[in-house]
Amino acid sequence: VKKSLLVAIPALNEASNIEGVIREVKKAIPFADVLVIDDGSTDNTLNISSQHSDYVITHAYNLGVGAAMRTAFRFAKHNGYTFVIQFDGDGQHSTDFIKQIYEELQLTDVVIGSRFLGTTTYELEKIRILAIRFLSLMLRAGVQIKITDPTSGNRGASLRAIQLFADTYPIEYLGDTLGSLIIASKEGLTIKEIPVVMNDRQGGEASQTTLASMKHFVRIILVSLLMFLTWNSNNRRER
Amino acid sequence: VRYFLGLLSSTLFLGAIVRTVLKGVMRLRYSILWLVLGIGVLIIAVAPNLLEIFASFFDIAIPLNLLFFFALTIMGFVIFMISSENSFLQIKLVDLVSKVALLEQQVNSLSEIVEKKKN
Repeated sequence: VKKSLLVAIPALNEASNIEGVIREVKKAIPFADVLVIDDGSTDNTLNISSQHSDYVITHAYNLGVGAAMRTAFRFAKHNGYTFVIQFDGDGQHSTDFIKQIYEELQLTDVVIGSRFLGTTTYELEKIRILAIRFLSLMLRAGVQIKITDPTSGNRGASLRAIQLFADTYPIEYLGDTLGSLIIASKEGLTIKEIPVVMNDRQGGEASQTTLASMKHFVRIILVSLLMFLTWNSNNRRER
Repeated sequence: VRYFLGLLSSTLFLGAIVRTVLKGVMRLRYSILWLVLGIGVLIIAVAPNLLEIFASFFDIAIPLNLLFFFALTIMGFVIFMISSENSFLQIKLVDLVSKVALLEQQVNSLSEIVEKKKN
């Protein structure tokens, strides 16, 4: 039976989480195929994924989430999937919302799970919230779309978006979050947010130092400004 | 010999460039750039008076400043060129790795089918 939904899990050194994540996804939506994109992991991620996932693709080098998702969209396009849902390999996303994103994808090209819509209470550092607000503002000013959580990686794409992203999904810093939304809206795709709840990060970098956050913030401002300025030429080049 | 150190180092510099070029490990456009630079350095080492003549032509009081000016300009240009070409290569590399990964997956799944048919 040909399946139409692909759940794409970009993973970098997630040996301790990936098995649980794949199992949960398969349990939550048995009608989907699961693809793990191993983005050059140096641990056992590849082996574990090949045992539990329907498909595994492995990058020879670590290229970043943007490149991993571009590979995923290429795979989806080539194999004729109608819907792709991106899901984190670190257990941060909850499977509760995959179905909802899938349902929304029937009518919308791009669906984003937002931590800040509705009654969600997601605790983040002030400076991170500030950065996310800034990105929202940029999207509103630059391409006239209202997105409350542009950095969310819990999102879905339907056929039109898959066709677009397979060739042009941005690989730069912030490209997989902000950049892809700019491209989608400039190409006239419909974008919708739904409220989701995310788990706290299981281990790993919990909170950054203030200095690191500041650096992050300045970088976000500069990168997003550049992104709007260079969108046209980038787009022309990649076609 | 006057300016012995300058002559020696510029000769070694040019020698290293020529050797690399002759080995054919450097692409032509870079070879030309470095050859021209190496010859330029050697000329100034042989005839430092040239520097003074050029400096007075450009109304620069201290000839050494002219050297610094040229050196900085050329280095800036070279570094800019290299970083833009490096970016281009990185973009190509990402695409290539992505495509190879997809092909690898296809080959693996095809060979699985073949194995099954054999058995």
